[in-house]
Amino acid sequence: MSNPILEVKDLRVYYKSIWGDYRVVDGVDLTVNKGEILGLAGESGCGKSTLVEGILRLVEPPGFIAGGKVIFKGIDLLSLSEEELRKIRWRQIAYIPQGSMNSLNPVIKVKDQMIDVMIDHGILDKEEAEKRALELLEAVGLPSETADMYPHQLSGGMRQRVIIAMAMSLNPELVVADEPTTALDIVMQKTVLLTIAKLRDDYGSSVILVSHDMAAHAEIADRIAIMYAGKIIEVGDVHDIFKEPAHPYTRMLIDSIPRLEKKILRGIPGLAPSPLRWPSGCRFHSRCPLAKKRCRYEEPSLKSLGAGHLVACHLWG
Amino acid sequence: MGLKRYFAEKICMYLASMFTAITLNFVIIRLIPGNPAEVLKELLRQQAISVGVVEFVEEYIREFGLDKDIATQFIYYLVQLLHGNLGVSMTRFPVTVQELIARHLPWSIGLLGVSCIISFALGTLLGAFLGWSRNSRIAQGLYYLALYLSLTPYYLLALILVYLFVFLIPLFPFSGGYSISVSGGLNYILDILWHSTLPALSVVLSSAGGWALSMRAFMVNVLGEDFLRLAKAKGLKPARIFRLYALRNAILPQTTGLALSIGNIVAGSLLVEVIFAYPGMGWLLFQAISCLDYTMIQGIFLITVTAVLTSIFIIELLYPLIDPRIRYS
Repeated sequence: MSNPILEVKDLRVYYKSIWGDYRVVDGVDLTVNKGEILGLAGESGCGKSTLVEGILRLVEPPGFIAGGKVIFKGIDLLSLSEEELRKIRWRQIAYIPQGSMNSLNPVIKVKDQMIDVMIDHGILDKEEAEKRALELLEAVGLPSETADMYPHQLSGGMRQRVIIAMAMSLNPELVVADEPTTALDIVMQKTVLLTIAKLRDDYGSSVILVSHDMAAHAEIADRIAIMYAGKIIEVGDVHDIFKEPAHPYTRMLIDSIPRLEKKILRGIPGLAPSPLRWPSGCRFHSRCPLAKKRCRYEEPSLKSLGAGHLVACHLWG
Repeated sequence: MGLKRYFAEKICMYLASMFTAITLNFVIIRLIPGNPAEVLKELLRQQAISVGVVEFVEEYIREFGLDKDIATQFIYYLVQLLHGNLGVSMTRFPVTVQELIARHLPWSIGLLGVSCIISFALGTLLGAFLGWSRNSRIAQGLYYLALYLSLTPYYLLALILVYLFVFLIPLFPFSGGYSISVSGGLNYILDILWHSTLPALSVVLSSAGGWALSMRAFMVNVLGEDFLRLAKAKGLKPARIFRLYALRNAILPQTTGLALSIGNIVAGSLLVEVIFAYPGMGWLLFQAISCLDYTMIQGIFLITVTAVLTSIFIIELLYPLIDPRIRYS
């Protein structure tokens, strides 16, 4: 069953500063299997977006990749030259960015921004590419007039769907969507999520869905990885984790989802720690209601609970 | 419908700015100590002319209306302007201001028009490169060169160039726009180019540095935009990202600066033209100011203001063509 398309091994992405390195992503291990939607969840500032940038090698100075491997179909992306990586980008790994609002070039027509990527990867000539662009827009539910518009003439949800259409253009094997629903209204959120799910269903692409919104993961993810303080603390089947979260943080995260029958919203007390100086031991110990003495000085590693369910917590031996 | 209103609004605004500029200009030059009549008297005395000086100066004052109060003078000036009449030069009468401007303007347009376009093109390309590869050694070295050039006053550069290429290595003529002995045909054109090389070079070098710095800043801004990150993630060829994503967006604010400096061409470049005794508008203005030639100064400023406003207007008209986000509204 497990057939990994992407394996992240001990990935570290740091940011240089005069106070020292911000260890934003600090040793992440993660596997994405063929044809699955892997949800990546965690509160703001836990390093989700930086992890994505590390995987896609889009980290800009003062950020840098401090170590680890990103193995995509047997090749370590971090060892490739810029030109080798350029050929893999989009053709095999597409990206739906967090700031989709400003992710389209304001002075170029939508159509031309969809075509250029097909041409630069030498897939199609201009005429075919134009036809394909129109088909893709239709596939994400946008009228064909969108093609001749400029980004500022589109709403946020439309822009987001243009980028999803773009992401589908070369049938990539992996799509990385970073907070694709943030800043959209609730109806548009659902549309965008279903469009992403369609990517997997119709094209067989694997998807990494980054979102702080647990409800989004419940909706479309197959497996879910929970990130806390620059590390993955729990991974597993989305049903298993929602039914029986193993890590106290995951439990609190799920409990914080607003539900109709719940009168009181429960948050997670305390603040996310600083990447400049992570807490010793288990990084969650200061906010954990179940913390023991051991949690303060010994860092837990990921342990299997069976059926692909991994957790990094001392409660589990 | 909207377009008509757009033009009407713009034109009203330009007329208002022009009127303000004309008024300020009219008043300010009259605040300079002294007046043209005194300059004339001094001139006559230097030439050892003593007969009929008083009568002549009185006639002069009457002729140019200098005996009237400033408001009357101003109204008279405006009426003349509305008739398309810039008046007679106060020091070079009976030659009119129009004639003098027509004689000197082509020199400034030739010298500064060409050097403005060259320096804009060079500086913008250099700045685009500096921003694009801002982390490379070469770009950092060139950045300091551009910074140095833009901070060096162009007249200082002119003096350095004169020292190097006129005195040390006599390659170029010291002054003037052309040689009197050369006339007609290709030789004449080559002679003009030969004379304009040093003044042009001093303008190009100093303003290219400034263009490079501003373009670099715009470029660095654009490089931090989300759409640039997506362009990279799309695996587009670097040449395309540079041209259509980075340069295309960074050049938008840069064009506004170009409009202003194109307008300023007609004002000439005072110090450069003075240093090289170049017969352009700057030279004309310099002479006019030193003799308090009110009508001449007014004429030159009017032309300059008109040119600046016109080029801004043209750029505003062109802007929607280069930036789809901007509309005529």
